[in-house]
Amino acid sequence: MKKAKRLLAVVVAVCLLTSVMVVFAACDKTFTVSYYNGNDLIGTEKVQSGKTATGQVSGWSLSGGLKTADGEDFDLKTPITADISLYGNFTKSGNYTYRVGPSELPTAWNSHTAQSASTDYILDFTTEGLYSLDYSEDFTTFRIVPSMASDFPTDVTADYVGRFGVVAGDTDKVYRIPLKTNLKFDNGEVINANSFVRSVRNLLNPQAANFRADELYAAGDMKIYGAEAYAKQNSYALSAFVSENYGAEEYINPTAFTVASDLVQVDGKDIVMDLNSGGNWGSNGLAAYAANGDLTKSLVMDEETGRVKIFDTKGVWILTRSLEEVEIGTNPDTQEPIKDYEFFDLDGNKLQQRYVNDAGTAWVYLDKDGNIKEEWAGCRAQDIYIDAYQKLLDAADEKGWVKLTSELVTATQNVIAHLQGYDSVEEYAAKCVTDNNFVGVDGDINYAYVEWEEMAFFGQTWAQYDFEDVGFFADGDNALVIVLVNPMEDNFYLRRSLCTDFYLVYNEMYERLADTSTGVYTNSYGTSMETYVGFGPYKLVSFLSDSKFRMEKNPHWHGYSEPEMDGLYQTTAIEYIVVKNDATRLEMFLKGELDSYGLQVKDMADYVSSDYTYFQDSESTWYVAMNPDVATYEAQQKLAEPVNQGYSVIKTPMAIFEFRQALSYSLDRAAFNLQFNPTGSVAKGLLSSEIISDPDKGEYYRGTDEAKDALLSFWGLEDEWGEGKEYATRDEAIASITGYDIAGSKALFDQAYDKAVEAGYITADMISSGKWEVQILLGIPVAVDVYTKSAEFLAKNWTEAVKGTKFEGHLTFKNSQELGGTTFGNYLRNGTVDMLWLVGYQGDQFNPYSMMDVYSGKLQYDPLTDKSKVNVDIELDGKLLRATLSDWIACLQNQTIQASVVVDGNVTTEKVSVNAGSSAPTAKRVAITAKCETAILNLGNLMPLSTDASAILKCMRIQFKTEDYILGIGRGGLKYNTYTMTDEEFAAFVKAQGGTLNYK
Amino acid sequence: MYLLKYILKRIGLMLLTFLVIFTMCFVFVKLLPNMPAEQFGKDMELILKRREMLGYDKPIIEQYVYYLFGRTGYIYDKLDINGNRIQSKDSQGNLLWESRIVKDEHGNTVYKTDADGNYLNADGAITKDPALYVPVTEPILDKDGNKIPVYEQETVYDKSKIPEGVEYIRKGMGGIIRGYFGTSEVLYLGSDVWEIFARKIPYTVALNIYSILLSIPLGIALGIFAALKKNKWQDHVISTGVMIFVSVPSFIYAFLVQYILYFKLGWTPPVANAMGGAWSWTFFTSIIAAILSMSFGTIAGFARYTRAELTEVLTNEYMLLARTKGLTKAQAVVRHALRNAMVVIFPMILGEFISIMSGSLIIEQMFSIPGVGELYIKSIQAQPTPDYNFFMLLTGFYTLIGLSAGIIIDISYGIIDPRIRMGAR
Repeated sequence: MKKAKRLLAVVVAVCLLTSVMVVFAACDKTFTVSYYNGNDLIGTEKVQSGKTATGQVSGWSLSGGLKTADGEDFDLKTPITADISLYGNFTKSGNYTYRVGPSELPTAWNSHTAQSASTDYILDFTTEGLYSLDYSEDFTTFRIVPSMASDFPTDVTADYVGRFGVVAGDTDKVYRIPLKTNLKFDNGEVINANSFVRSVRNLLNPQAANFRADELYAAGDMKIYGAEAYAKQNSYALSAFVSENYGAEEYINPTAFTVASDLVQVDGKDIVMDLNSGGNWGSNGLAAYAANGDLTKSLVMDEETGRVKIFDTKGVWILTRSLEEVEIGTNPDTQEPIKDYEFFDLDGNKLQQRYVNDAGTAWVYLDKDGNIKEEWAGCRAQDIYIDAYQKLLDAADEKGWVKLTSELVTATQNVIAHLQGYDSVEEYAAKCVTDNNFVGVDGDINYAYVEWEEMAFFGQTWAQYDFEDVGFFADGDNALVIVLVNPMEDNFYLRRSLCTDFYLVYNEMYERLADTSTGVYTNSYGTSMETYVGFGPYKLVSFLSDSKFRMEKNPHWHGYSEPEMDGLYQTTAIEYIVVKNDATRLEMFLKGELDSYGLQVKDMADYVSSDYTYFQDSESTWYVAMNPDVATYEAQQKLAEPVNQGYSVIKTPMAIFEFRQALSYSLDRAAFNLQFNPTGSVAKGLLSSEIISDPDKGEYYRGTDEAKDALLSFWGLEDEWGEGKEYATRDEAIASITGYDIAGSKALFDQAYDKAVEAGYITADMISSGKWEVQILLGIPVAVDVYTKSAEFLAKNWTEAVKGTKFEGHLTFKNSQELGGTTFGNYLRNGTVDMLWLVGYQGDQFNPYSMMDVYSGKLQYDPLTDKSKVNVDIELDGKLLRATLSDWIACLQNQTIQASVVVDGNVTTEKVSVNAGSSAPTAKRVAITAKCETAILNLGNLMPLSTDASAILKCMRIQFKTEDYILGIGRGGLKYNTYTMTDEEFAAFVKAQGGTLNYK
Repeated sequence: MYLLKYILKRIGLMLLTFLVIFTMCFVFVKLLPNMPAEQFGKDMELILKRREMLGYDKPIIEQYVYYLFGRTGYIYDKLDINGNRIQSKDSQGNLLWESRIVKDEHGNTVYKTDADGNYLNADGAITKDPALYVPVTEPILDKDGNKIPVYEQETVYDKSKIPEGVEYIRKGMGGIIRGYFGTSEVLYLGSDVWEIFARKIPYTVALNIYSILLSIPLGIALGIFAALKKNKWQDHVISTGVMIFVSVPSFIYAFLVQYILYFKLGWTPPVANAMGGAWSWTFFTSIIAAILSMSFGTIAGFARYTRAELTEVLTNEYMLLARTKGLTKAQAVVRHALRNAMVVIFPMILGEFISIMSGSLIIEQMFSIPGVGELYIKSIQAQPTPDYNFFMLLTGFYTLIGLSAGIIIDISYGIIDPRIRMGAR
């Protein structure tokens, strides 16, 4: 028994011992933790059973958390009890410097005054907005996320009733924006709400007239209450056109006029004529028109030209007037001959054609010596005109501004009546009553008495204004409140407008650097490293103007401590070095010293199909622009020298729509792009395919049926699709548009010829002699290859295109002198040149609606086509509505217009108010935009030419987040870029490749 | 004495010429189109207001007077609509009073803090930077014990715009005569033009000096060698080289030098490294390719002139005499031939040194040297308006250099060759 007991004891002891040993053995066991970056195994770690893993891999940095193979989050505090694979976002430790070699570096990047695009090289990385555009969660589109703000804005309008013009019932006018609490400048100083407020105060400083101050009240949809009043206080300024402020009624209700100190006013604002600006007339103003009238005491004959020089009363030479008088037809009412007088500007270009009856009451006739002939002098209309204009001149200040009194309103009415070819405003008014051209949608008013409002501005002395009354203030340390002039719903457009830092500056330094000692406010903030403090993900660490600058990670940036940023911003430094020469830049790129290279036309053959080439479409569209004013062409053709000796020059056929349309159809856009814009593509419409019409859904404008119909209408295919037709679907018809229809163009050229003959533009004499040429004067902004060679291309293209048509051998081209890089558009606007090309507008990819304003406002290339006389019918909410093109565009800009209901093709008396501003449904805005696009295209003044685009070569070591270009975020940018090699590894790699990389 | 008179006369004429050129340039540059184009979403009124502040709306001659002599500003306390003075507010919107900084019992400044004793900056945020501490102030009281307001002031240049009966202070502002060349309004917006110019000129000077130090000795040596080896193969080689380098524009060499030395051989960097300053070793080593590109033309020029002059001198009879008197060929060449040849060469050398201030547009651009080479052309081409202040500063500077150079070179003839007496009858 004892033995048994002993045996049992031994067994138990052994078992115990074994158990202990097993436990010890188990405790002592090590497991392997394998770390993966994506699918790449980058390291392992041996961990004793029950212990925890470190999560660290030599040479790599972990951003964010780890996940198991099942995709579940792995907590590093979890004891390891088995081999395990962990996946994380690892980046190689080391230096990742992004190196860029632009041809210009910023010289001043004070965000309050910045005017150059190169300022973005610094501001893009050293600042950030309250909100920012980012990838959507699945990286297929974009979204807006808070950046410096901690959350999205909230509507607090109700809290401010009685202040800032807010009344009970208002909504969407006052927003509270919460700020993150850990915001800092890159010198470590705290940013709070007051930093923003103080910056805005500095931005709007009336003493400074900062270039960017108007961003808070003039640009975009978001207008801050009181910003304009504060910025302009104590100065007299002209604001909006008088006739633009009253929607469809357009003109001011006569009862709204008041008189104070003899001055005519509306709502306390003066009415001002600017003699040098034509207001809505889109011209150079009454001073230019007035020159057509004879200020008889200031006429001097130019012996050489036989023309009379006309001086204004200040002795300034305004115009030259021809003495020629030509009969151009017969007045059907009186059977009296109609005579044409010609008026020329200083360059000899005809400015305006005028028709007068045989009585000739409108004009003074001069003999060869410039003396007024007795029988013409002192005629009635001329007296009225001179008297009226002289009154305006006498009342004008040195800027040419005239504050209107009642007497001056009458004078202005008379001047305008005279400009319209009538003796007096009364005669003009009588004509307006009977002439449908003047009745139109404004039939309830007499146009003659209100037309002057189109040229007039509101003027006012901006009163002293407290900054406390500006709708931008702090709500505690960590919230901003903004008050808007116009309500904006909290939608994409509001949030995108808030993707701004509100021009935040480091106020201490900014105010210290302001200087008024020389009599003019200047500020050297943002001109050197010492005069700038940023607050973005990177900070400026060295800067030498016109040479080089470097930015490194800003240790004070709040984003680096936020989990959302894990794995982002691998770039440790950014270096910009100025490289003026394209060839040098390419050499540097090939030697691995730059990380991107913008491909030039000459590089395309080598690199167009490279794996490292990325194309980037732009929202801009280039056009060919013409101005279809027959009077202008008549003037120009008399001055033009023929290309072919002995030929008669005619330009008037260009005023015929079919002629311009034929030019458009016959323009080989693909060939043009290949030669001058190889990264671009053929433009088929006014707006590019990159424009987004519904940002919330990410829908492209060109993808909507309405926009497709606009293209089909312009390219003559609107009736060519559908069942039993040439194209089964709308998309098939769209796909068939190549932007080149030579057959269609030839038919149009012949139609244009017939019309030109019928109109007398091409006379029988010309036809019989065969010695006539339609001469197109091509405007050359600057004499660089892209213009001079493309001018050659256009001339050759169209010379070939007219072969086989009635214009064959009769189409010639001339290049203008250099017109200047910024104001060349004016030469087309005033008819000095016949055509410009590669013109366009820098578009807003998310807002085609506000962009439409450029096609009828003061920036339009064809102001001589009066858009307020072009009617457009649009079906909205089941009703067919008619309004002018100007009005429809205005309603897209948040103005309420009155559209007439059309039934069976007839305008009824029923009117409908329409406002298609940013709060309107997208479908409604798209419908209006598309119809406006159709109308503009069908005027034939703008021919879509090509869409803008660029192409870059990307460095081998860089990986983009997405291969596809996502609007608003691109391919991720520096935030998302990752590197396969550190700077040192890449240098070694380049060396191993023989010092030069092959990107072909 | 006659030389002194001559110099004074030349200086007088120089100043007159300078004034004429300077005035003409001002007028011409102001005649260039300068009205910015309308832009979508821009408030032209704001732009016009700034232009008005800068005086661009004034007649050119008036602008010129302002530019030279500045403006007289009249500073007065602004009045509100009721004729009362307007009390100033700080950037936080608080009313401003005449005040003094509070000191503690030890005479140290007292700064604003929060309840926990943390220092605050002007925005009311906690700061650890002593430079940003905000001193605590206390109002200064008048004899009646009332606080004294600080009033908003207005500066006008037209005295008639001062409201009647309001006191004002007269103050001269700006103008070249006060040493103010103006602020850049376009190219280096907000920067003092003189500061920018002074910052950039050393890079240009350094490049030119290095180039001169290389090219003049080498050019003269080659010229001497070619002259001494006249019509031998060495002369032909040098002359051919000279012809090529004189004929081919410098940007062609620059491109080739950069391509070969950087891209093919990897011996030099592609562009200048100017971060260390104009006189740093890194800058010098980084612009070797630029120096070579600058020098080829100068070397060729000096070689050609030296050869031509020396060849002519060597054929003179006095050279034969010198040799017959027992001088060696080297002695004769150095003591007689070279000295006489230098009458033409030396002013050229002087001219080179004077032109060290002038930048080379092409070379500086090609090698990204932050000098003054392209400033002039950029100041005229700047958009939307020419950078007037830069243009006038450069015009004045280079006109003065050019005119002075003329005088110095003329006088140098007399120094090199005592037979020439400038100004003597």
